[in-house]
Amino acid sequence: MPEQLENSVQQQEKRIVLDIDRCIGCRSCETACFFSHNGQQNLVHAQASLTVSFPYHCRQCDEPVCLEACTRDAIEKLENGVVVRYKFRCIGCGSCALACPFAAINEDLVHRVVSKCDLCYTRLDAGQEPACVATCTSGALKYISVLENIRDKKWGTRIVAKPGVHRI
Amino acid sequence: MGKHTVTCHFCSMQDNLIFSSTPLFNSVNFESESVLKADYATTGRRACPRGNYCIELAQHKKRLAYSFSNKEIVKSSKALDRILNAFKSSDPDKIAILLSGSLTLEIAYLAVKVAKTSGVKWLASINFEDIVTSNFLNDFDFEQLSKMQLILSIGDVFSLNPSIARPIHDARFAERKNFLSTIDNCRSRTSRFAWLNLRTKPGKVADLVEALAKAAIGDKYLLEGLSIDKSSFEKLLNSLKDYEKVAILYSPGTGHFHNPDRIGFWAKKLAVSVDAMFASLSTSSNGRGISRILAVNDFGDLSGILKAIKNGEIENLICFGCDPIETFPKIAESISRIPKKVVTATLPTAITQISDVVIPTKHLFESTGTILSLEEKLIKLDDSYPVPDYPGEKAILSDILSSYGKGSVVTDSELRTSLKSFSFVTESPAKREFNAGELYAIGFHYPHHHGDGSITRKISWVIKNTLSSDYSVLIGQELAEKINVMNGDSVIVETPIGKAEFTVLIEEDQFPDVILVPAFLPQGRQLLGWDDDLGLIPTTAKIKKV
Repeated sequence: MPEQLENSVQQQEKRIVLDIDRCIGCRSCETACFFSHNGQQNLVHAQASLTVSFPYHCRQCDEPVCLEACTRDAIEKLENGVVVRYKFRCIGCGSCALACPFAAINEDLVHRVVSKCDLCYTRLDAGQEPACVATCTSGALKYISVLENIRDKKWGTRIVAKPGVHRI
Repeated sequence: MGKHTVTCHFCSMQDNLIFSSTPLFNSVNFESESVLKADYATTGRRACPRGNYCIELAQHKKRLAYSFSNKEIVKSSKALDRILNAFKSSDPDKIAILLSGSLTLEIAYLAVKVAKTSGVKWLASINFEDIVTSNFLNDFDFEQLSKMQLILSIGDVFSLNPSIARPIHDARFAERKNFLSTIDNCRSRTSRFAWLNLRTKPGKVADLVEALAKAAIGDKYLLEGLSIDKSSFEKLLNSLKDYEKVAILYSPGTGHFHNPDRIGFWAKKLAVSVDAMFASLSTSSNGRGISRILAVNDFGDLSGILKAIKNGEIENLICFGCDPIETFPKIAESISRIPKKVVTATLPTAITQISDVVIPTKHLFESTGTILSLEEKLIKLDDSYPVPDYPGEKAILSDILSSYGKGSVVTDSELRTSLKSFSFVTESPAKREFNAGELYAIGFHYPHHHGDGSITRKISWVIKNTLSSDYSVLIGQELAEKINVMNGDSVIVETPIGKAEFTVLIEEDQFPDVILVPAFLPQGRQLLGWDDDLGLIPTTAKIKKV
């Protein structure tokens, strides 16, 4: 890997990755997301087949299209790379959900706003992992740096998004 | 209030959660409606969906906070007086006490003391699965599971005990790969990850495990009629014998296996013969411990109680934290005819609606006391967060005992002595006949439901996300084509016990002779077969498109 890439800020940023070979589809990540955001589930539930399911997360894009699409400046990218949605600025128009190329933003309105994964940034500030990772019963979800993920070749990590399966 | 490490209310994995308080409106987004917050233990035992429900259960909007008598709020002292009077005025032979498996051992011991003092003969834990699994001594170490070279799962451990998945996967992906194998009567969540899945028809699983155990011991065994591939059988047998680090896990579930007691016996025998770690996993958090406390004191005849209820022999039914109407929907009518009904509950359920007296109680994660761990150790639950002073089971039992001039203190040594004198099963339980058919209805569970589902169906996440699809039976592609149904179509499932309408969900890899019926719904439970001694079992079935 080129040294320049290895040291880039993006590579050091941590993201949630899913090891699909471990996921048993128990949906504990969803319940953790639901309860840690007081009923506003930010995690999108994917159906691999009709009875096999797993979560897929916001990728916290380097250049978030949802941010560009937001008509109310309710979405911002923080210094640590986390793309957050401010509840009181959001009017629930759903533009971000339509713009997201990975369909990681749920179109359904909860508490009149769109749900958007914020990597549980209040937990990150407290030195904890996002709630979905902390609760994952099978060890399928990990919160690791992008670099670590690329380096660790043993990991069969895939991020799954609409419309197809993407490997990183 | 600080941080408190509590134990999950639900399955036998006894996962830990960390409860702490968050000052109201002190959250960044002003989203916090919670006084309590839950966090996850950093140990291997992470909370599954049901574990996550604990935070809502603690502060559920419908939580019972007051005592009720004839559906009116009354002072707890008055409700307790009424319970005592009803108890004293009833013939002890006509009193039945049912215990949930999510109570402490102290409550079970006090219930035994009450029954012995007053002459009550009907006292039992409500789950047949807990009674079955209590009969086998676990030789298990959770921390060592990830180091196993071969793990054999009998039943669907990933659905029934999801938090065991992490060490199993750790073992699978370790340097020396683990070969996860499964024995089941259908395709399950666990078998999809298996290196080898030995599948036989319902009613034959016990024979298969027996054959495996006998082959491991060196005895004669029979494979005829099991319709399994002999080479796969030998492959598994040789692996079990050859590997040094082997674990055998047995999770019967509800209505999933025929002869679950025989399966457990031979699974334990197999574990001993190949020197493997063994764990029988109960449905409830403390079900195995409670069942043993009752059994050593000659209680625990659940089938006797159910028969007595059915025959109208019970006039005073006391339910501690359980709901027999949802657990055994077939006898709902008989229960409603019982003149006196007392229940302790945390949430309104079917039984609380028709009970004379309802007493609010604590969840297991709010209780102080002792539970029996999977590793056969006594664990103290003494780190509960401050909980309102719900009278619960202890107040009822203490009142009754004090009316007989007896105390209600339970010591550790009493519990230890009781548990030590438990006799484990040494002879193979009797083989029970099973009617073969073309199609079988088998009970199944989702990881987001527990037991009869009476609590989990009241969780807001379940109501919002899964409840509509939960009312489905799972069938294979081949069967779906045969009866010409697609996903979401309505079907009628008929068994010798009854019939009910469900929507259908198609699993591509499911076996064509299997209809998986939801055991977490009364609609599913009342379709499953019935064994007087072992409760719900699979049965023959028919399915047709509506």
